[in-house]
Amino acid sequence: MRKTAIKTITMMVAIFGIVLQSGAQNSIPAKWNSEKIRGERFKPYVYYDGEAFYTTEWCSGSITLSSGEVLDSLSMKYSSFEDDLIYFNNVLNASIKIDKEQLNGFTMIEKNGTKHLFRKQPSPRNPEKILFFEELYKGETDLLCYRRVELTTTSPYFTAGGIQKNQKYTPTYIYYFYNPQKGFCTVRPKRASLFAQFGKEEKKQVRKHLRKEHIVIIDETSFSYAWASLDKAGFVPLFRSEEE
Amino acid sequence: MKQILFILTAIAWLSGTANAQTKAHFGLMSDRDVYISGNTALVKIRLPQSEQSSIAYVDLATLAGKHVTGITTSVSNREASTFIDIPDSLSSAAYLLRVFVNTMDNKVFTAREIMVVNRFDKLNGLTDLQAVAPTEAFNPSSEKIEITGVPKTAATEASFHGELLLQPELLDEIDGQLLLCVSEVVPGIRFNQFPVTFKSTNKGVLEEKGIVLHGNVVDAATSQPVAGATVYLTIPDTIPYFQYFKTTPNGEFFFLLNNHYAKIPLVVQCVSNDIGQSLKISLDDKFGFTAEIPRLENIELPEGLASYIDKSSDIALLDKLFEFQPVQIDLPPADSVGQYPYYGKPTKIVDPDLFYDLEDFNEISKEILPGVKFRNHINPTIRVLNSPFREYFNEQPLLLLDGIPIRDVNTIADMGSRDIERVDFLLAERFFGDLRFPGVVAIYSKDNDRSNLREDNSLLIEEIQGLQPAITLHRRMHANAHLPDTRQTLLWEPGLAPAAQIPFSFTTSEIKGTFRVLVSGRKKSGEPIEYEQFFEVK
Repeated sequence: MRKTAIKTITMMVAIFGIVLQSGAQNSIPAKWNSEKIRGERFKPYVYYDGEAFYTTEWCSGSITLSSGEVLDSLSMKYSSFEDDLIYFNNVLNASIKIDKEQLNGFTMIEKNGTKHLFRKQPSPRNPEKILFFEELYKGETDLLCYRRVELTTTSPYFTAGGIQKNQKYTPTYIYYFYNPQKGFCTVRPKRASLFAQFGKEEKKQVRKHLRKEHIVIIDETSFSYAWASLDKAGFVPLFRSEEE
Repeated sequence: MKQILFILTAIAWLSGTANAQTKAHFGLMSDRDVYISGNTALVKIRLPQSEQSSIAYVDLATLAGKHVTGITTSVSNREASTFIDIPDSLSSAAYLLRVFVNTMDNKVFTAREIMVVNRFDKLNGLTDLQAVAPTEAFNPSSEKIEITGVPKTAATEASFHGELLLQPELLDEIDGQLLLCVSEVVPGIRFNQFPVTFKSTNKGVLEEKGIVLHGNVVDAATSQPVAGATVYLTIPDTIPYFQYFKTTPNGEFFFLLNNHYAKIPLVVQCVSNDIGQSLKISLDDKFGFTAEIPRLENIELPEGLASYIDKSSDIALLDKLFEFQPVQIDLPPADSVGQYPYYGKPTKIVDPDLFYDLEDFNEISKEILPGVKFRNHINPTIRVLNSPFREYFNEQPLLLLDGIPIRDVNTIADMGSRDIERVDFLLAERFFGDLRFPGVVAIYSKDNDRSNLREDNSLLIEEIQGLQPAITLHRRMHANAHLPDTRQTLLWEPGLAPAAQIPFSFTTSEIKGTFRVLVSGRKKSGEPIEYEQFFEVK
């Protein structure tokens, strides 16, 4: 008898809770007030050997708009060839080139879990031109990469369709150290290039630090790791550009 | 059995607490009790601790509850300081200032009585005033506050530096910021705030991020809600604002407006997925509610009121003549850097005045809009070039007149150089969220005349109240001018951080009369704090 009464009361409490919950909810769809993505239909590139996009497959990701709002769960691709972000609109079944003016940056996650964070910044050579840079490391001095792809002339070849071509998409990535006060400075992801950013005395300490941390620079990833470690240890580069 | 009783008691207690929270009241203070029509009333509002809305409304209503005018203000830390312009045409009587939020269910809001005297009619033989009967509900506490530095009598145009002293026990109890106001009063007239309950048929959406517009779309023939219809919202401007919403299963739509100030001209349209269906759209009226009418009684008007009104009417006239504003409006800077229209950066912007006079849009498109094909047959058509793909679209582009989407091409057919300020056109397929535009032709007219728009049930052209801008009271109105200083409110400090000693200063104007130093705040318990001290300017 007592158990039945307790059960009844428990049910009443549950119903009371559900009623309260339903009263609090309303019928507004989720994300109803989010900013809308603006863009233009993406016109597919002419086929050449190589890859015009940074990733071969669509990645899932999020974009940060100029207003600061973040829109996530988007299917996207970064066009290294034209420095544009393309997203796939499932409702309209269309690939759309997002207006650069609307974006502050974006994050892409590849199927293997690799995360790429891009941010919008004025070009080092032409401040009026805005480019997307991949942020390899963010600290006192950031390590950025402009994932540029260019059409270069190559030996003639035939496509699968039998058309002869003599151009291909070639990655020509440019790496930069960036500091808001000092600006940009080009660097190559090589040990020698990194050491060129330090004076004679500092080089010894950098060498010692990398040895202590067991860091060997062999590629972009290890270079980023090395720079992250050095920046955190307080090393400041001379901002001596490679071209100088 | 004891356990059962315990559970039942707990449920009863919980429901009681929930109810008590919703009954927590709002706070409303104004700088004066008596205004002349055309004056600006400064208002400080406080929302209950449990309130989540970032938007509050203040309206002016008759004692019978009829809405006269209203404003919308953004709220920060459940407090806001704002202003409301009292219409010049109001007749002399007692009115109510009421504060409320969009979610009205189960809430008790606050009203405050003010007296408004028409500056032309003045009292017009009025000896009694129908006013709200005193209520004990919001009896403010005034202990533990002291004001120093303000003498009993003061000269005109004199400066005072005083201090507000708060006892430590009170300091711990204060919730939020204090209001300090020095203004002229009429001895014998003192109104208080009191609770009111509203009833509204509106949806009452919580406005956490900004003003939420809510409305409904129904089938014009059956009055049944229409789901999935697209509702467009346009705010015509140099760079028009545009948003859209697909109606919910209940036929509802919502729009968020978070950075729009003063009066906002709105155009709301709806389009059905079924071409043959005729729709009817409606928008909630934020001030369309009914409120309980307070218990009224007649009060005798004090002797000094007539001279106060004569003086205040003269001041109001002077202010009108010399266009004096007692407050400085601080509009946030327009963030137009990098902004571009929602339809994208135009391929080309054409000003027809730079060319010889073209009679109608057919001529304009042929002569000066390359890539825009307008055919003025029985049913005029317009098509634009899809430039990247080098072919014309088969569909009508997004056609805008002063930023407002139009579907009927006839609307623009007769527009020539004399009517058109500029034409933006975009020769590409554009996307805005899940909307697709096969090219864009945006026409901006010279006269902004919206009478061309076909009026039907699916189109609403309205003006709504946007956010009231922030204000600062002029500390001294005409410091360097050979004009009289006619300020009746000498100090309005709505955001004073509570401290043991709060310094303040003000300068008297050329107005002689009785002035009040008012300190207002709220305790953490919700109990209002009010302290006042009077002085004469002779």
